[in-house]
Amino acid sequence: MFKGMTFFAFFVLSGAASAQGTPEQISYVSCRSCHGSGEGEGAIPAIRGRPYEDLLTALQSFSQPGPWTIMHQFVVGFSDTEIESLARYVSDLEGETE
Amino acid sequence: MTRYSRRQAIAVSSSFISGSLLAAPALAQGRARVVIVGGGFGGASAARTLKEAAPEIDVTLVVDKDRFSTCPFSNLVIAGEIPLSQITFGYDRLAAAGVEIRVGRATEIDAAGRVIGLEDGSQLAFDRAIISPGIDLKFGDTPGYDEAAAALIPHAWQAGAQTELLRDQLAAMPEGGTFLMSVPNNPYRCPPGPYERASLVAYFLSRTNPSAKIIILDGKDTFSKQSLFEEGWARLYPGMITHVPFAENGGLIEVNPETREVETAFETFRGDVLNFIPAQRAAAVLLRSGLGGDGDWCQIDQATFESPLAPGVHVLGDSAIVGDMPKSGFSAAVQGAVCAHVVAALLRDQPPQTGVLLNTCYSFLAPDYGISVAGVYRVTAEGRLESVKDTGGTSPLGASDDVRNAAADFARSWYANVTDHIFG
Repeated sequence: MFKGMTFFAFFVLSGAASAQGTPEQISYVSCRSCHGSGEGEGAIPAIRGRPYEDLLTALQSFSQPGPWTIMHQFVVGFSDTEIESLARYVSDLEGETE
Repeated sequence: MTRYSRRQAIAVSSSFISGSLLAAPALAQGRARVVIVGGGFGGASAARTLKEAAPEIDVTLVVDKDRFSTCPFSNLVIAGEIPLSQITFGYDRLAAAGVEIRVGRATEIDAAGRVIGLEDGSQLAFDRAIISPGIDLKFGDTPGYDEAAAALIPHAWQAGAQTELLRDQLAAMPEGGTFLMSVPNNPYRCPPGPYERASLVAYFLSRTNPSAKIIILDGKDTFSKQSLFEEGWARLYPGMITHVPFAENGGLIEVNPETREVETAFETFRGDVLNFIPAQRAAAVLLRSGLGGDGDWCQIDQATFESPLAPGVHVLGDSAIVGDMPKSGFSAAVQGAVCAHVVAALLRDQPPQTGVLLNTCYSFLAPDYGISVAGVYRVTAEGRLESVKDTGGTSPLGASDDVRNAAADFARSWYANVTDHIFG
């Protein structure tokens, strides 16, 4: 009986629901806190939908020595692969509306 | 589960008699229901993100009042730099996004019955609940400090009327007077907040009442960003601020709200204005409902925020022990959004994912002088949300005015962006 239910639920769900809360989506929550979800306001630049190469270059620059920023303290906590995935995810947000 | 139509749900219910199905009100109605308690950074952020991520879920946000004043930036109100209205937000935009706003005080969380009880006697059924009501003050913990005393000697640790009361008392302080602060031991909401407050009070006094003094009676010996604060105080307000650590006061004995005297184990201090910040605990609704266990704060599963004591109920923000993350508005906003993704996944029968969580606490030492402490957090294999080694940290000591000025600008930008995203 429960097997049948699980199958039924899977069948109904699989068509409609997209993957929920990927690691990039979850990490982006923190980015959005400062950078905003739209055009952004003030000193912190907007990132949503910017070209992948620009985002990747900017993020990678924070793992190089340079003037101190909070971003240096964050980026050191991410792997290269995570940086790439995050840049791709944020770049792909282009065209979304609130 | 959320994708069942009403007809499908009825068909399933009648075909497969299952206790769990019958206990889940969402299935009977065809839509999952999430009730979120708390209209601050954590709750409003959870509501915003959940409605975005999973529009098919019915989201109800229970708020104490129809307006919310933020603790972040409230010290600028006390210093007279900005009005309270500038840090006060309503829920119209969340309502327009499809979140049902319910004004009322939640008084009971019934995890077994899957309902939230409100003060007016009504009950809200849920499939999953997200609880982020912030702190309650431990009135009575120090003899002499109760709710009535707070009307005379404000805590101003929940923003609103208390913030304006302290602002007005500061502005009316006699020339050469003493602004006395009592600060609790850890843990409490916003670890660097009291020292930002002392700084901005000093900023105000240095221009209006330069012979005035500030004394901080501390319940601990060291505090967040201490060397950065002390560097700034020596530079901006030399001789104005005295920090009395626990080792030099021995702890609180009693407070007298009429005379504004604080008796400590070693000495009695008197202020012309007394800002008494009491010890704190998780909001009463959580402790009353048993989600705090034997303690003052709520233990949770640090990957999903779900309470081990209340299946289906997720707790976050200042009320919860969220691994190594501090009790900050920034943290609560991040946790709320992450928890929304977790809840959406669980209601879709998908495994919840984890990612990296960040926090930044900015503090103003003056409106153009900011400092920061940042952290990077990940869920370990053991399920703890831990600060990642060799990441995060404070802004540098001995930095230039440009760096301090930039941090103040970043703080304003963060505040504008986070409040716009959540409430705007």
